[in-house]
Amino acid sequence: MNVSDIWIPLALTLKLAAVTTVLLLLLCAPLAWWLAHTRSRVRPLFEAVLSLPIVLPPSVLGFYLLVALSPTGPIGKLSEALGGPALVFSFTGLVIGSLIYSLPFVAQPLQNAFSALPRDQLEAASTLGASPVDRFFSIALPQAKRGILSAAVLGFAHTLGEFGVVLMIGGSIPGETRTLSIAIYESVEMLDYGQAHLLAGTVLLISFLLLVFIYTLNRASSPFKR
Amino acid sequence: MKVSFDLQLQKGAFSLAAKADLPADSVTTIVGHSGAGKSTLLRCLAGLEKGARGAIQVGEEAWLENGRSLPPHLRRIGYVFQHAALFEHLSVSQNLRYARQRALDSDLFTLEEIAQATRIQHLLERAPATLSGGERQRVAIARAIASNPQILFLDEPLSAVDETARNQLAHELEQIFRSFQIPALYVTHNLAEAARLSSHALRLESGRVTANAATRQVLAPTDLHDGSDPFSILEIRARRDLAEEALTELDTAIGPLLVSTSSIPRNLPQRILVRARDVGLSLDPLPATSFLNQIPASIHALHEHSASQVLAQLSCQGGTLYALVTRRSAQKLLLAPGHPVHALIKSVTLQAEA
Repeated sequence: MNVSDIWIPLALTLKLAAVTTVLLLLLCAPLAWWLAHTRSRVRPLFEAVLSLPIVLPPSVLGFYLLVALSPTGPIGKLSEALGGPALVFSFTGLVIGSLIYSLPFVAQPLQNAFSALPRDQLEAASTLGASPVDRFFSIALPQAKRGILSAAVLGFAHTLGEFGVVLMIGGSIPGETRTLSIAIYESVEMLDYGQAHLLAGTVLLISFLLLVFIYTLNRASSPFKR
Repeated sequence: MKVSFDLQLQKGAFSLAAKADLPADSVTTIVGHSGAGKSTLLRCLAGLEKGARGAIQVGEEAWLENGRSLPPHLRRIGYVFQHAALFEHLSVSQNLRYARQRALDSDLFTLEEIAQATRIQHLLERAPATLSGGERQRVAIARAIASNPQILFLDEPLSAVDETARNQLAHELEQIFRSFQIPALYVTHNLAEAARLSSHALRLESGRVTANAATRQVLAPTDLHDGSDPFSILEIRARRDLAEEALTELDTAIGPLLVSTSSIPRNLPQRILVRARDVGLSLDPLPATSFLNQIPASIHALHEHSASQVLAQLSCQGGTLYALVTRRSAQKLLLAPGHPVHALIKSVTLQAEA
């Protein structure tokens, strides 16, 4: 057995999870901020749409994504018109799929963290001369730090374990779309249990460590509380 | 500095429609029962209520005009919240520096001066979560002053403080207002607090302004009709200590008053309260009595107070004093407007409810 048999899918999976997490944090922060503070009537609608990836089977998500991303689908056509890459069976396509698949796992902790921010402290900051952007960086971010970290870790861990969506839209191109979970599936199909053990063990270990990190984070009290 | 506003706000079942011109040279209190809209009015003035309509003019600046609202961070105010609202992720000194770094005007006072006046020097490195209620409010006041405000807004700053610390803090606030000379709007439901701290007062009832005048007038017991314990407010002009007797003579509008030195703070308060039930009346001067203060007065008016009591409004030299006497005594003494009497004052106080 070759080391690269593990390393290539592992590196690809970690890269996919990292890219997805960073993009999701950037996309979800304003969205979650809005959801946490709006009194708009369409909020439940938005929340329902954002939660859909939790309840939908990955194959359903993957199917629609496949249709949308294919060269004849709307997103695929758009990418082509803009001179972008082909999306199906490519790393870019996987990132788009993962963004949707892991969205609720980042958006919800962020929304919770932002909702829990003490309103009076934000108001106090505004009366002391802090603009809205200033308040976001000087009060909201430091106080929501743990929520943001939880969101990042959950998003990362969830992307790590993605299977159905990848299978539908990514296929199994080594170094491009062959993630750990696909590699495990294929190892089992070929009855290579030794390889499957190694790959599955790796996923198990990483996921476990990430969760330990989250729960430690949630237990640790802020440095300013006795 | 003049503050004028004409504000409307609808918030659920509550509607605010308040209009007033305030001199706002020193401390103006906003009094009224809970639910009268005092805090809401203050929040509207600070720009914290998004739905507020109307106009706000502060000095030369329009804060709200023709539907255009100056955002709170540009209003140059110092706001002290009921529960302090300290930044929990920052230390006390970082809280002060947060305000100082964002201050728009040039520095009125150094942070050291502010910390000293609010007596928080020993708390600077502490975290807000480790402070007591009184300490938190002192830090909140210091932080508000650190932002070099044109005007201070205080929303019931003493209500979250326990009983014993409250009186002390009220006294400190009086000193702080006097030493920093920043105009302030001060919301309170405690009439004694308002009487002590302010020269001007605004009364709110169900979101409407029902009185806007000198505190003495707004809080005149004949004008309150709310069943609260009536009291007189006396401005203090000077003091003279009689050390060997542990007494202090206070020069007030109704004449000199003798009080025991231990009953008043070392730093002279600006005003002192005399509860109407601590004042008795006599037709003749009493030659043999333990009352220290007998003040010649004449009855200005008699007001109904309760089934058994009448409230006598007395003129003593230039000042006004109120006395609560039973109906029976009033009849026995044949009290009527214009009659000369002697007011016997049992004690003076700094708090009304006791």
